[in-house]
Amino acid sequence: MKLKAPFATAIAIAVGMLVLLGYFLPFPLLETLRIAFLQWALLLSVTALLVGVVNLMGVHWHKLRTGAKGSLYSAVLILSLVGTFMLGVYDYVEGSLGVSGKSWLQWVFDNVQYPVQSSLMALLAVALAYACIRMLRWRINLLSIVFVLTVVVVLVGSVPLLGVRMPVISDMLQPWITRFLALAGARGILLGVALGSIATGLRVLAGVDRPYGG
Amino acid sequence: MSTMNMAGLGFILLFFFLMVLFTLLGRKRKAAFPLRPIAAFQRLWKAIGIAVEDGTRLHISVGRGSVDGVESASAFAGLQVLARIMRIVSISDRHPVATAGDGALSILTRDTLKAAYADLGQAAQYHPSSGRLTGVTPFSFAAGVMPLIADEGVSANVLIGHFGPEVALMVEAGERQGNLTLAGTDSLPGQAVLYAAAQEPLIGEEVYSGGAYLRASGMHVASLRAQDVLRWVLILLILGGALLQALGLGTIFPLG
Repeated sequence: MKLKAPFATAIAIAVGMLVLLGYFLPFPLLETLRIAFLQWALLLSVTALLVGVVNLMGVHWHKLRTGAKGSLYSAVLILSLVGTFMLGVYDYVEGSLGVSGKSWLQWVFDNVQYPVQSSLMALLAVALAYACIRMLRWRINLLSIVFVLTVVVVLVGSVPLLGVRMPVISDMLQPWITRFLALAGARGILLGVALGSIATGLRVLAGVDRPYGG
Repeated sequence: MSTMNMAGLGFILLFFFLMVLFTLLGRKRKAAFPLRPIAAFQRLWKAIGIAVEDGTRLHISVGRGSVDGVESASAFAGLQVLARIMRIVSISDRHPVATAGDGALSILTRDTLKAAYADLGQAAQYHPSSGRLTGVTPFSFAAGVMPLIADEGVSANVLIGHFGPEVALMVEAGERQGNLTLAGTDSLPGQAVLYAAAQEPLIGEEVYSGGAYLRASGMHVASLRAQDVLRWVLILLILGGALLQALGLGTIFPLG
């Protein structure tokens, strides 16, 4: 462990520096290295997904074994995961044998995954409307009032109310807010996000932040 | 090497130089650079204290940004907060639980937890279930986090990383339990949602300031100072560019 940490940090810093310099300096070797490292990162992140799924299974298996609260849901998750995996394998075998049948995996996505995601999306709309009202209870200040008023104006301006478009709101106010005010605000926030991202990246490069636990 | 590339590299070098400079200055004159108070982090300190006293858990989520994408910076900021909180609550009976919505990020989450346990001399207490992948699509990630907030004795949620609008469902789950939720994301729709939904939203660059406010190191405070200076440089450049454009002189400093 004592040797591993500085070694991991040194590799991370060296690779990070090479990738960063590969973006800016016009040396073919740096460019090649940058592309190679990024491709490796992509491959590793796909492999990491498998490790993550194993962790997910492990956590829910543990819950099921110990009879923790909500262990029934853990059972459903494990069964669904195994079932979907089997269907994927079945589709693959069918495909490699040249049998052009229906994709069962696609069926699961169309009939289970999408409806569930759509339901959560609908729930999100309700949760957001409620959150707006709750915000006025917590933080009743000028910014909160402006926030809620803007939401109402943009909503009314974007969606015809009972089939009727609001003349001034739809034609002038809503486009003005979305094209100028919202865009200017968004760019301001993005500048802050960009500066924060660079600062975080530089701290990782300097070995001050070590997200790899080294 | 194009002008844009030179400008980009120059900007990054200037940023790094300012970070080092402010770190050195900060060591000499600690009180000279006080941080502006951010209510979210003040409440987080209180929530950490309460969690330690009550024997409840903190939940830290680092989002679902991929480590090879632009969202990785916010995820790394979340991991830094996780590492710091782990060290602060080391005396607590119940250690924090961390969640992620990306495979590689979940490995980094567990790695961060493992390293923190090892540093604290409590390596045996680490359990792989304390860092979890809860789902790999936005809504499955949120759906996996919601029961954890409800069932695992969580008293405060710290959500720092890449989250989309689905974060509202996670915040709502915390709200139903009466938990404090401090949340920040690099995504614009996510920030708009958090402004309304979270008790303590982190807006813009505040998402990346967790390390400084949790007193991780002098370099974290110095990077905030460097950001402040460079923000003004950018503002002046934008205003100067707009002025030149308005005067019809926009082509005298061609970039690219």
